[in-house]
Amino acid sequence: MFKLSDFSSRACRSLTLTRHAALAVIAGVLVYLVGRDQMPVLMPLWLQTQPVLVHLRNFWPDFLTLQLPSFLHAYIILLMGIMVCRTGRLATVAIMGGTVLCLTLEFVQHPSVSSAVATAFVEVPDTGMRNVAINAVLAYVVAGTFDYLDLVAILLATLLLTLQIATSEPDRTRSVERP
Amino acid sequence: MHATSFQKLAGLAIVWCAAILLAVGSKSYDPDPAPVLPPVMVDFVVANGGLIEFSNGTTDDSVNMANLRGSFEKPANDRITLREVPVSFDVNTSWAASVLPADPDELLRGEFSAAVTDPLEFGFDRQPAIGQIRSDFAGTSTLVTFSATGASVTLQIGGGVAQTQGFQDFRNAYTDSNRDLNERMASKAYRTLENLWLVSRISETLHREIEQQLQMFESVGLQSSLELECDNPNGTPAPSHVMRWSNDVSDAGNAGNGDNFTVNWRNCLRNADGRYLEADMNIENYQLANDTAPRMMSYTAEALSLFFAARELPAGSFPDENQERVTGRFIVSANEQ
Repeated sequence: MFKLSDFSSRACRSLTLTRHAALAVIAGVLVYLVGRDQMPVLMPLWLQTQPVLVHLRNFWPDFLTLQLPSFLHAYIILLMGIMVCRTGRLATVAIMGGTVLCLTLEFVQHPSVSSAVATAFVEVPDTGMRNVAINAVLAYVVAGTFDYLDLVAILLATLLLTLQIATSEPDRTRSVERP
Repeated sequence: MHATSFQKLAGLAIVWCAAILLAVGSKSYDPDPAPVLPPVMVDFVVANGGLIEFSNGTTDDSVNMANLRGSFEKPANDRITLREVPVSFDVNTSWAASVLPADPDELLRGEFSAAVTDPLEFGFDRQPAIGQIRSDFAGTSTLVTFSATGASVTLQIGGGVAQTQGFQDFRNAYTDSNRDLNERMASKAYRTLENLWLVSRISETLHREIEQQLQMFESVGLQSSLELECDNPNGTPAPSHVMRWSNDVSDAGNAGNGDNFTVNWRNCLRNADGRYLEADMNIENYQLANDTAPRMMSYTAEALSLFFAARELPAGSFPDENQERVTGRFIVSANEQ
């Protein structure tokens, strides 16, 4: 039976982790390339206008996008964190901290918070990168969308990864034996 | 050798920084999608607040007494559309101009006034089909009736015999010094309307751009100029949009009725609309568009320089430098039905 106290002592097989991370990254990239109506700010124009991508966008069902980016983003971040900190308390920090980070990135888009964040950013002194930073922050924070379903998607990603870890075999070559 | 806790924490910090960069970098520029809106008819007025001038570097046209009144159907879910919808001008549209002797020759000079006498439609790459305009010059009225196919027009000068000629032939008649002066002036009046039609589309574009930027700046407390990327993140030359309050009448830092702005746009509208917008303008007495139908919006614009590509441009290309630039003052208002 899985015990919460055993959580920190378990670790996924590195090969499974890598495979899951690769699949999630491929799925995330695919969603952003063909599944969104507006192209990301950092995507080069030559990539946006590739015929194969334009063609795929016409067939991509809208329901496949929705909260999927939020889920995949959180899942990938948590996976990467676990790949770095596979055992011990740091594994817990990786999961909990990653979840809090993703939830924070969503909450800063809430209208009650986004204005204050944007205002603070406008006031930073100009160090040469001010305009670039402000553009990025304003595009994300002020023009962003706060959606409660995105929060659910993030928590589902955390739950899925937790279940994966809880149901996986411990890494016997690296497990820490308690006295 | 196992990684130390410090190394793991450092790795975790890198992962989290990557998460932030990924989240921000994958954000698309356009704001939230508009709520579901049904298709609506929009009535607009572009009135002359002063002299409007069109210049392409070789010829100059100035227009006064312009009162463009028209309408277009905005498709569903569009707040402000720049798409290829036809714009129809109704019988309340009138305009006038002073033709200078050097434009295009010494013979063509004087003042004309013109009006739409039967509604006609314009569009990008769409010449008028059906409809009629009247031009008045030196006491003589000339009626120009556009055929249903758009291929020809019928001219009736001073109530005389109606003559039919090709549309392009009539459109270029003002340059032909061998033509009847009334015919040339009617041609000039039509070409002026073509420019004024462009102004009506420009003002629609301006309003959309201003609204989008104001939505982004709402409550930020912007008191100094701020240079932002307009919707051309990969353009060359670098796109920019600088907007600043010049007189915040309504509320400190919030966009409200009566506010004045100055705007400077460079190489915008390439990403979302495939156009090209470059402008330096003063916007006065801005009236917010309400969120619920019927929406009304208005402002007074003084264009110090305004260059707007009339047609969509392929990615990486630039508009014809000979296309007219617009300067002058015009008043815009639009109502949805």
